[in-house]
Amino acid sequence: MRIEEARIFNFGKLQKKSYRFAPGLNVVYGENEAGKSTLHDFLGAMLFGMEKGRGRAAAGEKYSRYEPWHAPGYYSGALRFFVEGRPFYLERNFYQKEKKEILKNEADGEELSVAYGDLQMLLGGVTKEAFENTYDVPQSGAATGKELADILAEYLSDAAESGDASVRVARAQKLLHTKKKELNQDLKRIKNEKNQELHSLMIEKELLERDCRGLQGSIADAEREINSLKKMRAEEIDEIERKYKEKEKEQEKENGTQRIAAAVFAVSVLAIILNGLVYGYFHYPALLMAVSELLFAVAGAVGALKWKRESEKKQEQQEEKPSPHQYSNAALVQSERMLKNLRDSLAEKETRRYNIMEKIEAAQQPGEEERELDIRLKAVELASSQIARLANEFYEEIQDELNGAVSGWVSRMTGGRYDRVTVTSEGRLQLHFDGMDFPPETLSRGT
Amino acid sequence: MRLLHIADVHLGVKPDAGKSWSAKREQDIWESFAKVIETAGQQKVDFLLISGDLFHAQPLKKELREVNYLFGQIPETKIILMAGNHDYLRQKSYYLTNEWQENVFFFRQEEIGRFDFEKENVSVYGLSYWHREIREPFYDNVHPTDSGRINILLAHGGDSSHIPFSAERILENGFDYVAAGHIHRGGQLVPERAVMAGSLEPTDCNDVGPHGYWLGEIEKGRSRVHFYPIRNCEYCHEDYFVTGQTAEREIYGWAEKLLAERPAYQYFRLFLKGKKNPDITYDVSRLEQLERVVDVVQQLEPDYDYEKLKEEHAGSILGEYIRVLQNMPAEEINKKALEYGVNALLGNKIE
Repeated sequence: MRIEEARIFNFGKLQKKSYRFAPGLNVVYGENEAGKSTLHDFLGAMLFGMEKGRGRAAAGEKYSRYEPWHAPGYYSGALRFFVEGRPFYLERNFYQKEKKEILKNEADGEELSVAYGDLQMLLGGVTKEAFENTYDVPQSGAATGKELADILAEYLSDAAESGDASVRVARAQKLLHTKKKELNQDLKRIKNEKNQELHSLMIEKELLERDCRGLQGSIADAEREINSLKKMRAEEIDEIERKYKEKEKEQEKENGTQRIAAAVFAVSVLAIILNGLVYGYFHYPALLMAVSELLFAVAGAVGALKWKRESEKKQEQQEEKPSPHQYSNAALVQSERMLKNLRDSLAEKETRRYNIMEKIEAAQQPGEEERELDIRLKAVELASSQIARLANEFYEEIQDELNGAVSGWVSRMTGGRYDRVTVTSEGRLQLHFDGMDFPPETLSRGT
Repeated sequence: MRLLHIADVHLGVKPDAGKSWSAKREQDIWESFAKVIETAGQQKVDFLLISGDLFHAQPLKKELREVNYLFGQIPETKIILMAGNHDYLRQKSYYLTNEWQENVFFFRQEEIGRFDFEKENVSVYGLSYWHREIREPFYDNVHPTDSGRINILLAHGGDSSHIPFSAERILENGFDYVAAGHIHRGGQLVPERAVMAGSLEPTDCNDVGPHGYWLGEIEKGRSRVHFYPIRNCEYCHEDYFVTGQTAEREIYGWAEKLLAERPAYQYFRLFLKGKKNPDITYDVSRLEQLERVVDVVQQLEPDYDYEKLKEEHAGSILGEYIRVLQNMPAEEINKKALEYGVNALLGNKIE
């Protein structure tokens, strides 16, 4: 936007005045009370409007300050300005009871509406506050040095291309900063999602680890049980073998008596036969002897029969001699099967845990989206630093030129009193006089 | 001798996490593998070569049981198997303790070994991964010991961190056929003689194009292989070129038409390309909710004529900025910074 003309019909002390501005930098100067601040406030009021405040505080407001004493209904002015080469006419009456705004495109006569935001659009969305903070540098210098340097560099860069005001360093930096903030938010969102994924993987991992620990405990228990079963089995086998040996010994003994019984039987049978022969030869009554022989034979027969039975039994027993695998084996086999199952289960869980760990590792790597955002963040930073560097370069390049121009203006404004002025790297004016440097605000305490 | 060659089945992978079809894809991959086994049986294939990464991660016992069962269904086919960089061997791997069917031949070492098949006069050379990465070019210097046999190399790798190799060199060393895996986009490295199988099914939405298995006839000094696609899922990257005038609805209409026209097994990543009006942003969330649309990637540049801008703003910060950024190496960051900076200097919101 470039203001071409300000027409003041009635605004404070200024009445029926018209000011024309040339393209580029314009300096407004004059004696105290000449109306420099009034013009300045007029421009602000034209661009952003001016409302009468309420209550007692209103007394100090700009509205009241510039309100005409004699003709309050005629509190108005007009501006002619260009936006992107198109001429506009803006007229306002600030009087609160007859508020009126006219906005026209002077090229085609199209009527625009201030109320519907057309003016705001022409201003490129710059608000009153932003204007005051950025473009409008009050006498005591509210703008920070950096902002001012940016504005200056930007302005001068614009000026170099004859008033094209589309390039703005300060605004560019602000836009880049906004973008950076957005990108960081996106990055944060992705990281949060990722952390959630990681979190659930971690839980899965911990559950598996808990299961593994449980299984390891069960395996240790099973191993202990198997050991004790094995020990028991060994003891049992010893016991069985010991018993078996004892039995064998007993058997030997029994076999001894049985053999005696058999011998008795045999002797008695022989005795019976002998007795019969002796009776045949000598014919003596041997009834008593026959009875005792018979008794002997019966006893012997019983003993021999028993022996036979026992020896049969012994044979059976010999076949049944205990093998080391036969005792307590069922329990041991079952325990061993259980141990194998536990070990399989542990190995499976460990494999799953291993796979989860790999997933966690993979999830920690930046994904496609994250890498893309990272590139964009770096691009924003690069753009911002390059623009800052170029602005600075431009500033330095034109500084001498600027110092010359500013010195000329200041010299004219002060009637040749101050003719050497430099613009500091912070964008402040520095006056040199009588070997001393001081800022211009120390010279005047005007409003 | 009839041969069927597959690789990178990635059993157990769940592609397109978060999408409604993710679980189906996991199951489909198992079914495709089962179908390959069935085909090997029907086609009376002598050798089934699996060039690594049969599993997406360390195989579980249950998974190996399933695979081993399937292998048992084709006892006439000899199955040659190796572990790749995804299912690489470690001391506790079930690969090592699994009781394989008699027709399965598994390479256990991370150095070149060999299986000889007298009846078929075939030798298969290969190894298994014991690491996630192997940078040594193990395959390039293998020479078959008996040049009278049909010598086959079962390989997995082909990029800088997974056994880089040159198929030509391997063939020069005396091999008759190279059955390779690892790179998911398959193709003939050397016509009829060296094949990168490609993944049996795509495992990631960037595995574009057809996927499947290779069936061939190999004799000494003469071989023929053919590719057979498996069409459960095929990812397609489709571009839409945006101009300064393009409306959001227009893009949506294009996507709907695309989905209606193309076969149901195709899934899409949509790319918006070209130049757009610097003031316009496209909201693609509605597009991304369409069935079979994996995601939408915007690769749009604001419609600036940098040369003209540079000329118009010569001597100003803008002109100088364009000049400086254009002189930087053509990297993604610098390109993006040019776009951002010009946007900002012109006072446009940065997308």
